[in-house]
Amino acid sequence: MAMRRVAIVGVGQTEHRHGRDDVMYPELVREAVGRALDDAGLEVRGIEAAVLALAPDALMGVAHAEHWVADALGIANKPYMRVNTGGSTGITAAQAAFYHVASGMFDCVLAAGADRVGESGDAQLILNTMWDLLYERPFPLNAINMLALQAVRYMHKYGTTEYHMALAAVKNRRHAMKNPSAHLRKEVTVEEVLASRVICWPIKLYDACPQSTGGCALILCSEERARKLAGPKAWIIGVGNCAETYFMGDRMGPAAVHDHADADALAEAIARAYRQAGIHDPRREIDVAELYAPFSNIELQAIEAAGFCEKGEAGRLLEKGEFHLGSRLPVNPSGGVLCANPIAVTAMVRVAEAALQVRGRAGERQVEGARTALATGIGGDHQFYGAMVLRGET
Amino acid sequence: MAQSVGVVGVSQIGYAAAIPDRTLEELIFEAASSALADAGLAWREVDGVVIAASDLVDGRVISSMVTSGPAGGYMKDIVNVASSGEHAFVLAALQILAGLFETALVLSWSKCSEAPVGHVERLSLDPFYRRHLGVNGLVAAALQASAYRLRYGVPEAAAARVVVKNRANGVRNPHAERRTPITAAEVLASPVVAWPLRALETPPLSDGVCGLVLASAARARSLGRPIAWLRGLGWASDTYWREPEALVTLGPLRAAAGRAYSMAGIGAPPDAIAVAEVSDVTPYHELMACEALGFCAPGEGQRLLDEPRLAVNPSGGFLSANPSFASGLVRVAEAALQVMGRAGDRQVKGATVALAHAASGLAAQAHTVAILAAET
Repeated sequence: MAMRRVAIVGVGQTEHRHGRDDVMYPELVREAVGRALDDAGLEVRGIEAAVLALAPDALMGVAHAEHWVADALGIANKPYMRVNTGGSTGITAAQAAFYHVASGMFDCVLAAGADRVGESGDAQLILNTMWDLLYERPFPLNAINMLALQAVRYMHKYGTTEYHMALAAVKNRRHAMKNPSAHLRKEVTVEEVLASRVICWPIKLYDACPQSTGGCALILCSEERARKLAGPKAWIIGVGNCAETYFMGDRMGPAAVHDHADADALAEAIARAYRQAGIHDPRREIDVAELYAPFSNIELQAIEAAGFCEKGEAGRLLEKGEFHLGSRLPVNPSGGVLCANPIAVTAMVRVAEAALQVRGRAGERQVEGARTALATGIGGDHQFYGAMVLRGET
Repeated sequence: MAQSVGVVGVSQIGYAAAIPDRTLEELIFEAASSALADAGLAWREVDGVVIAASDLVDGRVISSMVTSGPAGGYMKDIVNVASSGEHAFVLAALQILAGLFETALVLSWSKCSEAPVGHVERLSLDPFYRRHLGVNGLVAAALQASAYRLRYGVPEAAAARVVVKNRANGVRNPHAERRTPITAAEVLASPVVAWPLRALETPPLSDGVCGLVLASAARARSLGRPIAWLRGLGWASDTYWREPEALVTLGPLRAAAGRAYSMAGIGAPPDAIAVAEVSDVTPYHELMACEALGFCAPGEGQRLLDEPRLAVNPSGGFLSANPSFASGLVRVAEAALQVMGRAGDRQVKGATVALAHAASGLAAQAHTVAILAAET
């Protein structure tokens, strides 16, 4: 397919924190947009269209806040839309912006957003309303226990333990020490993770992401426009999406197509991106990955879905030091979702971090010689999966 | 456009004040299935699904979790475009134009009978400066209508004539919720609900689902059915804070139309376009849209009623059916049916070029324009 080449030419992130009492939501978005414009060497008038990443309205406390925040994206009289796929919203927005440029209609498009999860009252109370009113909501299901169910299933199937989960948390906390944007910047030990408060077994406090306030923005350009900019580019060479069933019960039992222990639909989304990118052996061809994983158990599964090892192996490989910064294929050198989760843009941060890596602009967390990077997002009840493969200039 | 995109299937379920015998999920499944059947396309042949739904109208956060299944999203690329139904159409078109998708299913809905729509609208105001004013969609539309009336001295009678025209059109549309004609006297005798708007000058809130199937040129032709070709596309948003004059001039609509016309090679819109489905959330909004779309000069929308140069809202428009979040997509569906020659009793004879206009946000903050054309 002779696809129009599209590059990420600018990346902006705010520092992710527990809360911000100095900015309103539009100002938070504008902060990230301003940094992306600076990074790209562009002014807002150079932006031709924008896509807003905004996940559940209720977290923001404003219905359809895309209207409120329009000014912050500088889009007066310009094309503008909003996407919402839950936790994957950020990568969905990046993909939508990609389609804006790849279609040939635009040469310079902005994807941006922000969230303030910790300031939203009770996020899990809000997320409980994801569920069916009659059957699931009274349980009460939320985003934590739905993934604890996945962890139990995964442990049962592969013999993985809480210790293996803790290894992912320890690695990411160590990585986040090198990332000034990360929310949680304090190292933890395996013992501390295992001894931390149980939230919903087997997920404990230190296996879980924080509730973050933060913004992110990406600027995407056509090849023609990108070439006019001085800075390094991250070329988008693969885009993939895939959705699972909604009912988790349909992922178990004899009639299940996929097992809730595995992220087969994530694997399919990534495979679609790999196919487009011409990636055949991800263990060799991917240099760094930013994988969406709000709980430590999900990172193990995501590593497997990315084809970096066989199913059930990720925990034991982490123990051997794989996927750490300094290893052949570092996963989440930014500290990942475990160290910052501003929901609407969490998956966009994965794309931003992957772009920084292949552009050689990842600072202390830079993976040396990173040429090809994978970014993923997960939304809904482990349901909406997105993937992007980025490649640097060399 | 380097690539072409064709609308090859349309489905409309409803629209009615309430559809109590089926759940939202059942209605979505019905719309998805019938849109695909209309296109002669199997579900397995769908590359992408783009839906547009409001979490707050649907009554849950990330409502696409439960609706993606009936929308046909299982193991597909499915995206919820949460700003409006017409934006889902736009994204699906971009995906096909990019050459990465051959087919896309687009769906949008609202089950207003089960949703506190006015409350959702009030919550869309920022919590610091505006929310305590209690402005909802109706009040915002009324403020905009009054700004337009004052600016151009539009008489109430002109508004009533728009309502009479659209309600008469709605009688011929089996999907309209309101299918009884009314007189200007009835409109003008109905009570003022938010000045200057009278009850019969405001749209209903309907239940329903609208679906479209889009395909690349080659794929569309292979289906051997009538095709509505997308010839022009533009969309634009205004800022949240607007000056009174901006409420009347509708800059973003002019920008969106300009882009769509230039893509379609249209220089004189009222000559080139036979049918327009525009956002008539009130009769004043229809007149404002006709002006911003270049069908007449600013302030002269009412004169179009005396000397119509093209058919406006043959479906009956919002004033006859309004599945809230999906109403913009309905405009695209109706424009497509017209150029496909499949609009039934509401068919405008010989219509080969149609325009769809949709607006979203309080006081029409964002606008989308699509130009659809028959095979030539």
